[in-house]
Amino acid sequence: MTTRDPIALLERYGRQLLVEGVEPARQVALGDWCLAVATDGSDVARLAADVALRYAVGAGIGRYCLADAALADSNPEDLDPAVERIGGADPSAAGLARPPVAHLYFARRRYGASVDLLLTEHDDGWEQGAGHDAVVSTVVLELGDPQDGAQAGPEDAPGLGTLAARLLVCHLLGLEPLPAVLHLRWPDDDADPEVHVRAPSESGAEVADLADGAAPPGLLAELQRTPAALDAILAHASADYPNEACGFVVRDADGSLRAVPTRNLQDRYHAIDPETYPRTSRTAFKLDERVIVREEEAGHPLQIIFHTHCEAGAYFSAEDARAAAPGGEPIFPDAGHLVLSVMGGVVRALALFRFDAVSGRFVPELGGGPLPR
Amino acid sequence: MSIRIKIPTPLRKFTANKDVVEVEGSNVGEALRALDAAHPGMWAKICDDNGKVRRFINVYAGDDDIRFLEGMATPVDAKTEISIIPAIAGGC
Amino acid sequence: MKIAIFGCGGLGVPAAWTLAAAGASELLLVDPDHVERSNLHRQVLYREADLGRPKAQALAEALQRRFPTLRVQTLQAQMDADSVRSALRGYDAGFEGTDDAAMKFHVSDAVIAARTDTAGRDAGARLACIAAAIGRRGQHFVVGPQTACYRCLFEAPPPPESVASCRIAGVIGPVVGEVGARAARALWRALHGRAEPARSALVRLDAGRYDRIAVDVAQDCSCRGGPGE
Repeated sequence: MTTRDPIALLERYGRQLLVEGVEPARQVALGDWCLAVATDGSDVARLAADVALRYAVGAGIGRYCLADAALADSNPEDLDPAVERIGGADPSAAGLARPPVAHLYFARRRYGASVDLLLTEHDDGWEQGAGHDAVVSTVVLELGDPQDGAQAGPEDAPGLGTLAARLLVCHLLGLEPLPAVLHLRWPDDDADPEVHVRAPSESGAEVADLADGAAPPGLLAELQRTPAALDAILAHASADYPNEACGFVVRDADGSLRAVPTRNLQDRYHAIDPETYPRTSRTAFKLDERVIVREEEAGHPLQIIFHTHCEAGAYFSAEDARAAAPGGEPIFPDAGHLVLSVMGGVVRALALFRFDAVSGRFVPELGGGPLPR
Repeated sequence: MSIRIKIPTPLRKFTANKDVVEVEGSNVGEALRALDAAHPGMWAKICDDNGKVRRFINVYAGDDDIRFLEGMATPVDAKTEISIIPAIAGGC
Repeated sequence: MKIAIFGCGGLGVPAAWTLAAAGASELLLVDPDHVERSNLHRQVLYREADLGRPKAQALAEALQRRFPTLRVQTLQAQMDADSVRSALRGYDAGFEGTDDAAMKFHVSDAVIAARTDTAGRDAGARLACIAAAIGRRGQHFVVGPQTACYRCLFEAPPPPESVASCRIAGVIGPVVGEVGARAARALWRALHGRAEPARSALVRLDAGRYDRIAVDVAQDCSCRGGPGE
């Protein structure tokens, strides 16, 4: 962001600075953030993304990139000429934005619409991958039962876009913690919304709490109480870097969790059929499924499937969701999907996602977030 | 020749919950066609419109994915078990 | 659907954007003010190039750039009870998003006047949404053909000097944007019969949490909760 003199800042953000709890330093720091917006290409998602972008830039986000060619018409420079566009018209350049970056991904869903927020905060040495943290948040907007034809329409999009911008801006201004999952119901027979905040996110602190045994229920918490399994996963994640590492966790006869690291077969498939498997193991994984079959036949049921994202955050990607639930049907509806963010060979963050049958999507379980240094 | 096909949990709703189905055939393609004849719908779950195994499904003949063998023409005999296994995959 | 929007500020901008996107055929934009730089953090359809221009006109152009088939009328004027009533004639609904408490009563009163006029001479809107926002808080309320009115909720406008404005208490841009967008959505759904016609509720957003308070017709209120005899 181009540095603004204090008078210009006061003139533009004066009304916002008057709000109780807003510190001027936080307002100025918003200018360092880059907003990367992407959509699934649907009209609802594109409108919501455009709305969110203008509100975020209006509130003081200093940089943006359009990780989606469908948003090419968005032009927040006319609102604030000081905003800096990263990557020009090339959507693939979005990944190059240096932290801090807030990614917003809007999608139309079977039950309504959703937005995923991923915050990658600046730390030291982005180029070296020495470390930055990812915070993940998912907003599920449920408009009703898809059986009854509930569908997100254009009248819903600005509400979702402003909500995403509000969560982001209020979080970055230090006013409201970002929820891990925000499950909204705007049902058709009710004039007005209900909001349920599930699982507040205080990621780093929670990881520390878990070590003291004050654990919330859940698979991730149980894994974090099983050092042998977690350490095996972390070691495997580092060993396979810079390729994605993968494997799974089973429950042994004595009830304890055991990690089973496996080879990433992606390169083997890419070599024989690059059209069907365009990615290499650098950005994709394919697990040796027969190992799972063998464990299950031996009476060790599958609990968690894990894989790493190299130089990327611990989020559940569109590719992950497609593979885990082709056509929207989860292959293992009861398994957790653990995603680990590996930066420069070190696991920096993790999050566990489970299929939510109500919303039909994968939502993070409480307790994920950056790992303590 | 009778061939054993192992059915994964998500597809057992098509096979009346049977985990193994025995069919006749001399290669993988014939065996899967016979499976579809006995349990309609299975072929479409396994293969796309071009007859290629879907991206998120693996078909194993014995110890190897048929993509690395001769595909649907991979010969099978009574000693070769065919396994249909959902792929576990993803990427950042 | 033809909708009149009073106030082209932090609430009116997102409301107009929402209603235009939803498919309104015509909007009337009413605002006496001009665009200032201190508006831009929350009135995000304006451009730096619009500074000093009448808001109603600048918003009309911003909407028409995005929605070329939308018809837009503008009115750059300070309104009172009578001019609100006459502005709502021929419109299906009104949206009130000014920072003037008296205006909220004028719009509510106009809806009540239209719905109690059994002779059918008053062709004014019989539906309106009244919104407000400040700091990290906001609220909206839909007045319809059979609901309670704004006077059932608040007896009369407070004295102007007692009302904190965003000039004093400030406002977070995306918060007022969210209230405006969600208020417009509620109005749009009410226009399409997708809301309980007889129940009204004050929907409040406060520090990121929503709640709703059901509002019943006040026994002694002149609106008497629905169309006249």
